[in-house]
Amino acid sequence: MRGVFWRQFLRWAVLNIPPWIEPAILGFWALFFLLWGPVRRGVMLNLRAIKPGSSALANFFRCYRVFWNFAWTIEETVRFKERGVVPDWEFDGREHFEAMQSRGGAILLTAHMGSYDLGAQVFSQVSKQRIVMVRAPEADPQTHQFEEAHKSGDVQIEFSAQTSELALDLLHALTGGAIVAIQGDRMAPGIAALPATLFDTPAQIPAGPFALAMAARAPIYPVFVVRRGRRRYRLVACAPIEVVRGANRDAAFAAAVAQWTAPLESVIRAAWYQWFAFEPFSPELAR
Amino acid sequence: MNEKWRPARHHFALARLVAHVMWRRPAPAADDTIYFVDRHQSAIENHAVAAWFLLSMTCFIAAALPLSLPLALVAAFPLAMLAIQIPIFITGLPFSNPRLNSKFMMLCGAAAALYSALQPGWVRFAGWAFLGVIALNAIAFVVVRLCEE
Repeated sequence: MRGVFWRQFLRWAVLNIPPWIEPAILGFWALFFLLWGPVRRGVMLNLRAIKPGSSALANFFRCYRVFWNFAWTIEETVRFKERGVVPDWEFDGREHFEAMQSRGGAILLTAHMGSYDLGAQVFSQVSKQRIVMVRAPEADPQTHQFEEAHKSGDVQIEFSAQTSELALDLLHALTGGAIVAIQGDRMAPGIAALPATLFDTPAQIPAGPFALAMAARAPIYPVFVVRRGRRRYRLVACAPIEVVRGANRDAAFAAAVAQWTAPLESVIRAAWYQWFAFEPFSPELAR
Repeated sequence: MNEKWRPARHHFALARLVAHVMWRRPAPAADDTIYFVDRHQSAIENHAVAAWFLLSMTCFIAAALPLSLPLALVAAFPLAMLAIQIPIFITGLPFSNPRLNSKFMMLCGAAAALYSALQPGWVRFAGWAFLGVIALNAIAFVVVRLCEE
């Protein structure tokens, strides 16, 4: 599902489907993708960890809810990019979000929840600070080209595969007052990791945001964009995490990781139906 | 004013009429939501219209299936989910005009409803119900026009 065809098809659908019939059509396509084995299995394994003791049958139906929300999320993101249709926004922890906006030079650490893309793009238009979004590159060159052609000009996108130059670029951006948005809930191949515990399961999370925060002496703001319904999102901002520079680097990272996984777990537990982690978050789950 | 119900956030005349009434009611005290204005923004309206259209099509297709009613309804539901996408491809591929697609789709629904309304058996009630909603929307359109003028 990484091919460019699906991106083009989604864009065509958004530009052609009357909005009043979208719920029925997205319902159909969520069902279609539910039959796609590997992704469904990944989501079901994650659900088993999030909801201990849950049955496979119940998780199969929960899986449909995850796909339903994912379908809406990507549809709403494309509709914003192509038509400028902005969803309604609610706020939780607005004071933290405003503190981050006013100080600049901060890391916005988020998860694959709700609409990360949409959140970054909407807020880049209203923010006084430059937003630099770090994301995994598309594996398929045609898809990469398609995304480049249709990206918003307000957000600077950096790809996490270019690790050597990226670290310096991000450090430079942070010291220049930009907000660097990174996803910190799942690993991509070839990036450094830190050990963590998620839902009582040993897992790994990207080390980059924590190392960057330590190097730049910048705070990390956990921010989640939670989908609340059709064209309605809630921005949940949490208290900042300081990665303290000291003699014991590992202890500083461990403390920061624990401060990050606490709100991450809490938000995922409450909104499991929109955690778009389509692979098991821990190798232990796949065993 | 309850901004969630701002009439400009609604598309169909019936929904706009309801919105005119609801908009004047006080907003919930602790509502710090930022509302955006787009004529398709209302979740309730769009989910209700999609459910009405899909369930009506399910009835029309079920009536055409050579099965007992409960089985026919079960079989017709996924078929209706597929069938409602056909008009989008018919007009969307050559013209790529969402307004035209919307009108053509509603026209297809109305044609299916008219055909069903003229059939003997239970499906005529589903057909008349569909046409009744369209008639109500037409009346609401006149009322809303008068209100907004």
